[in-house]
Amino acid sequence: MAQSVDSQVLHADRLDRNRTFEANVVVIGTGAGGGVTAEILASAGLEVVMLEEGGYYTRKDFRMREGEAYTRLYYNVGARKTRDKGITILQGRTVGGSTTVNWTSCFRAPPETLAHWTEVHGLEGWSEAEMAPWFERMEKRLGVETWPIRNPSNDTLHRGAKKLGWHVAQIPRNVKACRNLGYCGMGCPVDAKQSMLVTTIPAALARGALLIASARAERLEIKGDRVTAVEAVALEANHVDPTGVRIRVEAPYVVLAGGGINSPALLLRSGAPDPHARLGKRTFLHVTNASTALMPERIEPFYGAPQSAYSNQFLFRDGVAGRLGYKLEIAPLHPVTAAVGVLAFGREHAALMQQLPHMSPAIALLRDGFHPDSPGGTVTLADDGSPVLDYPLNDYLWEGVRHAYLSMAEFQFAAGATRVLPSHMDTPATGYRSLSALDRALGTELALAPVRAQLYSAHVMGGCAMGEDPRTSVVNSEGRHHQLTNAWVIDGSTFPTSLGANPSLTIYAMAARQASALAQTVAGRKRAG
Amino acid sequence: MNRVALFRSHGPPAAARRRFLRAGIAGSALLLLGRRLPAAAAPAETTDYLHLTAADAGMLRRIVPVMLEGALPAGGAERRHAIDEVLGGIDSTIDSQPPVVRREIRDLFDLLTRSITRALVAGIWTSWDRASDEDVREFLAGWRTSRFVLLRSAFVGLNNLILGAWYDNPRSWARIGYGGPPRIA
Repeated sequence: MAQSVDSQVLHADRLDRNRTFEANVVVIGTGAGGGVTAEILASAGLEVVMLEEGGYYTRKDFRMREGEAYTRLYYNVGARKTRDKGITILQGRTVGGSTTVNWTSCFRAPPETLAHWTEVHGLEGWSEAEMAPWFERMEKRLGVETWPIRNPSNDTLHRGAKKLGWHVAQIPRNVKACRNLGYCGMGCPVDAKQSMLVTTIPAALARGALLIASARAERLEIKGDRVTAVEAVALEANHVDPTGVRIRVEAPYVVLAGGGINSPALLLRSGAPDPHARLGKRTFLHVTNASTALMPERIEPFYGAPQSAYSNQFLFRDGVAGRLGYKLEIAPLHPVTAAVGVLAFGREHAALMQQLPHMSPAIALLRDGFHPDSPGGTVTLADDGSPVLDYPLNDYLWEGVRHAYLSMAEFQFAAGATRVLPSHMDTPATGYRSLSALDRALGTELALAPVRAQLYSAHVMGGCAMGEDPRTSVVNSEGRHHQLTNAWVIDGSTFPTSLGANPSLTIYAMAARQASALAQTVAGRKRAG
Repeated sequence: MNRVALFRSHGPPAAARRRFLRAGIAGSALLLLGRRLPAAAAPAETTDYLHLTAADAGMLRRIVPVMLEGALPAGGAERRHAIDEVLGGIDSTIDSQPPVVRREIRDLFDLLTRSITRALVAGIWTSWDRASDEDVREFLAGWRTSRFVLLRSAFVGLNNLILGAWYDNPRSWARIGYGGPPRIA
C-alpha cells in the first residue's frame, strides 16, 4: 500500500489516551461488506471512519507461516467454535476481514437462492436480473476471472467428477498476476489477491477516509430510534486484550459490517430494539465436512491455487428446499491444518503425517437454511459480552453430512484414491479402501454425533436477516435496520439463509448495491441540511 | 441425532472402557464444578510463560512426547529442545485466544494438575512425572473415545494445541515431506 494512504491509518494499539472522532458515516468492519461500502461512500464525497478489530497487516507481514498467520489474522487462532464445539469456524479478523485470508473463489449467488429469498423471505430488488449489474461491477473491480489451471489436488475433483459424469467446472478467482503459490489462507505475499486490503480500502483512504485498526466496537450508543455514536476499545498487539484506551466515533450514519456472529453480537450488546426477537437467529454456516484422499501420486496439497475446481452435482440434489444439498470443492493442506485435522495421536498420527504429500482433502459445503428442519444457529452473549454461537446438529443435517462423505469418497476413488479418511474422530488410521466399506461404517463405527464427526465452516451468514417484514427480519432489502433509522447492516449476516456458494462475491455485490443507495440517501440529506 | 450410535461404546479394551466410563461421569461433573474447587496449593512460582504454570508445564512435558510419539527427534538435547518449543508454542497460542477460551483451557489444565481430578478424570493415579507412557496413552485414548462430549472436546483441545505447535515448527517438516514456503524472487 502506498505511503500516502498509510498516513490515513491509525493503529489504536499505539494510542495512549482516549480519542473521539467525527464523520458522516462510521463503518464497523473492513471485510467484503465494509471494504466495498467504505470505497463507495468515500467516492461519493462523504467523510468515512472505518473501525477494524484486527490489525493492519500487509504484504510484507505475510510470510506463509501457518502459526503466525492464524494467530494474527483469524478469530481464535483459526478455531472459533460453536457452543458444543461441534463446528470449527475459520473467520478472518484483520484489515480486509476474511477477504485478506480467503481462498479467492468468486461465485455469483445461485439463481435458485435469489429466487428463494424473493419468494419465501420477501426480499425486494434481489432478482437475478436486478443483481446482475452489481455482480458485473464487482467482478470488474476485483479482476474476477476463471482460473485456467488446476493443482494436482483440484485435479482429483476434476478427474473423478468427469469419470462419473458429474458436473464439474473451473472456479473464477479475484486475482491479478497470481503466482499460484498456495498460501491464500495466510495472506497473499505478492498482493495478487484483490482483497479489500489492496483494493477498496486503499481507494477509500486515498479519498480521505480514516481507518482505525486494532479497535473493537463494543457498543452502539442508542438514543430513541437512532445510533448516536460507536464506542470502541483499543486492543493490544494480540488483538484480544483491551489496552484501556477508548475510542468514540460520532456520526449521523452507521454501517455494521462485522460479518456473521459479530454484527448481531454488537447489536445485542448495545440493547438494540428487537421487538420480534430476530437478532442472532438463523445464523448459517455452510456446515462443511471433509474427506482426505490418499493418492498414489504426489499431490503436494500445500502448493498451487487452493481452489480451482468445483462440482455442483449435489447442490440442489433434492430441489431448493428438500434434503440438504452441498457444493463440492477442494481445500489446501499445510502441516498444521493437516495435523489438527487428524484426531489420532502418537505413532499412528506420526505415520499418517508422512503421507501429507499424497493427501488431497475434499470438502462439502452444506447449504443450510432452506428447509424447516434447518433453522441454523443462534448468536447470544457470554458473560463478558463476547458472542457465542449455538448451532444444534439434527437428523436433517446428519443426513446431508453422511451423503456428502459418500460423494466425496466416490469421486476420490474414481480419481484413483487408494484410501479415504473422512473427517471423523473414529476414522481408523488406515482409512477406508472402498465406498461400500465407508457406507457400512457411517452411522455405526463412525457415529454421526457432535465432536465425533469433525465439521468446519469458513462462511458465517445470517443473524441480521434481510426482509420487508419486521416480524421475520432485522433489516430491510436495502440493509437498513427496521427500528434504528440511521443504521445499516451490510455484510453476510443479512443473508436470510446460507448462500449455497462461497459468499465473498455476493457480499461484494450486495455491498455495492446497498452502499450506493445509502450514499444517495446521505448525500440527499446533506444537501437538504 | 442417532441415539443408538450416540450411546454405542467406543474404545476397545473393556476394562479401560469401564474405567473411563466412570471417570467420564465424575469428570463431567468435576469439569462443571472445576472453578469452584480451591486452587491447587502451589508454592510461589515463576515461569517464563505468559499463561502456563509450572504445574501445567510438568503435565505437558509428560503428555507432549506421547501425543507426538514418532514425530519428535528421538533423543538428547534435540528432543528436549523440541519439547520446549512445543510448550512455548502452546503458551503463545493461548495468549491469542479470547478470555472465554483461555478460561476453558485454564479449567482443563487445573483439572489435569490437581491430584484428585487428575486421578478421577484422567485415570492418572501418580504424579505426572511418574506416569508411564502407557498411562498417558490410555488417558488420551480414553478421552478420545469417551461417550462424553466434554471429554472428547478436551482431547481435541489438547491434540490441537500440541500438534499445532509442533507442526508449525520447521523442524517437523522434513519428516513429513513438506518443503516449506516457496522463495519469492
